[in-house]
Amino acid sequence: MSQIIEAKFLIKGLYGKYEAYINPILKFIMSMFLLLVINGKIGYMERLDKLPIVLIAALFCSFIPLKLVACVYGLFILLHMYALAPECALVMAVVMFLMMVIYIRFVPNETLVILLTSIAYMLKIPYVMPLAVGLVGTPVSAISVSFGLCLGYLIQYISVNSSTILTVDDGQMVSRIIFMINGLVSNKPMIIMTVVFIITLIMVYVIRRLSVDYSWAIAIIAGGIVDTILLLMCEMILNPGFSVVGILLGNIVAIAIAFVVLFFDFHLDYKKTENLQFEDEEYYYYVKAVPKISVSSSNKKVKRINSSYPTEYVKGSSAGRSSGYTVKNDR
Amino acid sequence: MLNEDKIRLMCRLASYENGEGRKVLPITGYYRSDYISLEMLKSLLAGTLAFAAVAGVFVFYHFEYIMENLYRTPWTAYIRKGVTVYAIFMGIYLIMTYVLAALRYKNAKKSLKRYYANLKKLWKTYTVEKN
Repeated sequence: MSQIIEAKFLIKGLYGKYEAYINPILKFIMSMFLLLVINGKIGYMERLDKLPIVLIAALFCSFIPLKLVACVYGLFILLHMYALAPECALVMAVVMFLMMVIYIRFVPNETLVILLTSIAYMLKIPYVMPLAVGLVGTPVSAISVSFGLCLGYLIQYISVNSSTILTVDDGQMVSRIIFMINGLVSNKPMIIMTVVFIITLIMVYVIRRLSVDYSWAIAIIAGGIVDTILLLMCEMILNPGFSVVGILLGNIVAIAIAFVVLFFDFHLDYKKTENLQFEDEEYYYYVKAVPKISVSSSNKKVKRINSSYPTEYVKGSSAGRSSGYTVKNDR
Repeated sequence: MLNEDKIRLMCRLASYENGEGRKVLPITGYYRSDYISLEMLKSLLAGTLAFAAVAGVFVFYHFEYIMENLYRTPWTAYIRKGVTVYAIFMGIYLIMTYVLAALRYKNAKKSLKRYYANLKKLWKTYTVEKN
């Protein structure tokens, strides 16, 4: 266990030190992956569905703030929808506009949660969102997850029914719009999944804030179990057409991913390197503030001084500061 | 000569201005009533646009019915209903905006306290240097 904790702090330390380089690389990889998923699912615009375009867009995304990155994803979705039928783009644009005007205006940081939820839905692992967001977010994030699910279901609906949309009522504009709104408003699985996810997310949030040992791990497992049971019960009673195997496997994967999130709980004590510039009447200051790493790894020597064992040995970072030990740092 | 304490304080202040302060400082530039009024004005505009978008989609959805019953439909009653729904929606949205803006302003003021305390300390280092 101590080795895992050492690895975690080492990664955190490295991330804090090289954050300026790691962040763009991570953003590039994430953007590349998400844009490829979008192209794979709804790649109706051939010009966008090309690797060089995705590469350029991902490169662009790696240097802009996350809020704008979400806008690039949204633009990709809208352009693909426009290529399928302008009415699709119109309905999608109205849905996105409503989300932006009513909700994102107040919590701009939640944009990414909405998009990640819709992408997770497309990848058939939406179950990870209530667990992960319950761990790192607040109950307000339940609204973001709901919006993300709504967006994901709409994209999926359009993707599955693309041929019907093109041929419905000889391709009349009003008929297409009605067809899509019907798919969005009377979508039983979407409504059920949204309600279940809201319950799960709030439950995970409440449990992880309890002052008991391992509350985070308990929250993940309890969240996964509750999510599975609720969805299976809904499937049995209301029959919305969920895949039972999908629910079970999806939740197992979601629990595993949530534990990875727990391992990298950066939001708790994460400090990053800061480059600051300021001046007084005498000097210009260019300061690089590097966070201290709180746990040093295996190069700690622990010496027992008040017992009958005179041996000096090397111990891992978890070495206690309990009586009888002095910790000597060789770094 | 470099004053290490002063540099440390300036670092803290600059770090705040680059991070949390970037959100907080513009808010505290307003009086409370001005900030809340501005937010509510923005919400009024945003809410009206959102309502218009939903109303537009609603009209498209019932386009056939509207065209068929253009002269038989009791438009006055429909418009009255629409205005009532708009008023209720805007009422709820504006109340939410008020609560959120008030809370944000309060938190911003609270967050600024530490910044002002550090500024005061920095000011003291100058007065000590002069003496």
